[in-house]
Amino acid sequence: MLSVRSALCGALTLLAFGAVPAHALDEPYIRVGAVDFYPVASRPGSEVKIRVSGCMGERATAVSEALVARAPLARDAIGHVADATVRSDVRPGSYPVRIDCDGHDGVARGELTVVEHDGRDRHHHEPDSYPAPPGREDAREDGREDGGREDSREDDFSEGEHERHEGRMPVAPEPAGGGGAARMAPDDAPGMPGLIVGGTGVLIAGGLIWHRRRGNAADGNDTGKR
Amino acid sequence: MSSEPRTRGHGRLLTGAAWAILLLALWLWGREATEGPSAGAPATGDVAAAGRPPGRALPPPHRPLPGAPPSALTIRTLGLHAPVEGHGLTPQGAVEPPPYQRPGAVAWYRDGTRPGSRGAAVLVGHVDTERAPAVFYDLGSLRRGDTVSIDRADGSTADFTVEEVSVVAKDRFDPVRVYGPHHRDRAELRLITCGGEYDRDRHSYRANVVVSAYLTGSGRH
Repeated sequence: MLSVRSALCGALTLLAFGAVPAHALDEPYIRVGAVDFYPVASRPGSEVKIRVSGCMGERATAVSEALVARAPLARDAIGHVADATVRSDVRPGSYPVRIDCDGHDGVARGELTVVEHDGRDRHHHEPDSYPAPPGREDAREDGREDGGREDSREDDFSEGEHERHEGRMPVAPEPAGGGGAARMAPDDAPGMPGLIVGGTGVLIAGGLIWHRRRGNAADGNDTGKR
Repeated sequence: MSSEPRTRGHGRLLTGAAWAILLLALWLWGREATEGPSAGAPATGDVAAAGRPPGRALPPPHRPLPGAPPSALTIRTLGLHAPVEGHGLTPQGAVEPPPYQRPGAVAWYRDGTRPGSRGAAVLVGHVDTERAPAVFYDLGSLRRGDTVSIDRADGSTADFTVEEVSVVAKDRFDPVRVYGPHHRDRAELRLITCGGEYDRDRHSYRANVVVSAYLTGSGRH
């Protein structure tokens, strides 16, 4: 039984490795310098795939305070890649990642984004003395928010200059358009120059016909009068 | 062919006019092909250079201001004055925009930096609804050197200078570059809306227009 399992595992692993070069570029990597991360934002304690291109040797290493350890990257068909683990005690934010290879430190640098563990906006260690304003979570449909009401934690900062992020950083593109006024791409519409050329063709054709007719009529009249 | 002299003259005039129009059209066509889309719809990439000549320096950054939440956004060059309201994140991790029923409102990410404080404050608005232009329809026509002002709840105004206008494809989206600050010790602002091509099958735009600005002045309103 064990050997069948091992064989299956082995076969699946081979398939996975075989598939990687073909599909590696289809994954939604975020490119920061020459270092790519997948997924684009990681939770503490999770795995992140780190990919770098441009190193010549067999080995490369990713170094970052956000990772549990220095991560050795192995060469594959298109560069160097590793599955690294994000520390579980790291705070949300972006952390520099340094790539060492070919005998040099820091040949490439990237930024690893760490987002909060749970999915909510609220921080766990928000002070208890600041109760959330009523209806804060459902503010969407309530009309304009009073900006002054939002920041019950304003007293937390004596100077706004020392402000830190309370919540996690956004990570996704904005869905901010319904398409009702979308501008056509240049090759969709015929465009003014195209219309002018077409119109000119019609004019020339019409003018020639008119010209011919006048000429013929003059000739015809002359002949007829005789 | 025994044409009268008059007709021959008309013929020449007609031919000349036709050639002139043809050449004009070809010239316009060539210009459009090389210059690309109009200012209102920038092509993917960085269009900031289309503003002030690159050699001309931008104003120095202003020291960050005491924290205060935003109440309104003014962009004089666009004739824009819009209310600003606080929002959180969508389940996907984007700043939630205002509902389409209020297309003139601008959302501010309330759990992030306040406009005027150190860091990057994020404002999001719709470029259009399903039928008509919305508050950030002309955002892509902003240029390096333009001014953006935020009215704040404490009566002050934070004035920002645009330093970069980019179109970022959604499938090659770098959240650190878009949402994160570009320089330490500066108060920065991001104005974001949709842009690029509209994908009718997916009912969404392919890119975001991202305006990056930094604090250069302060006043009262």
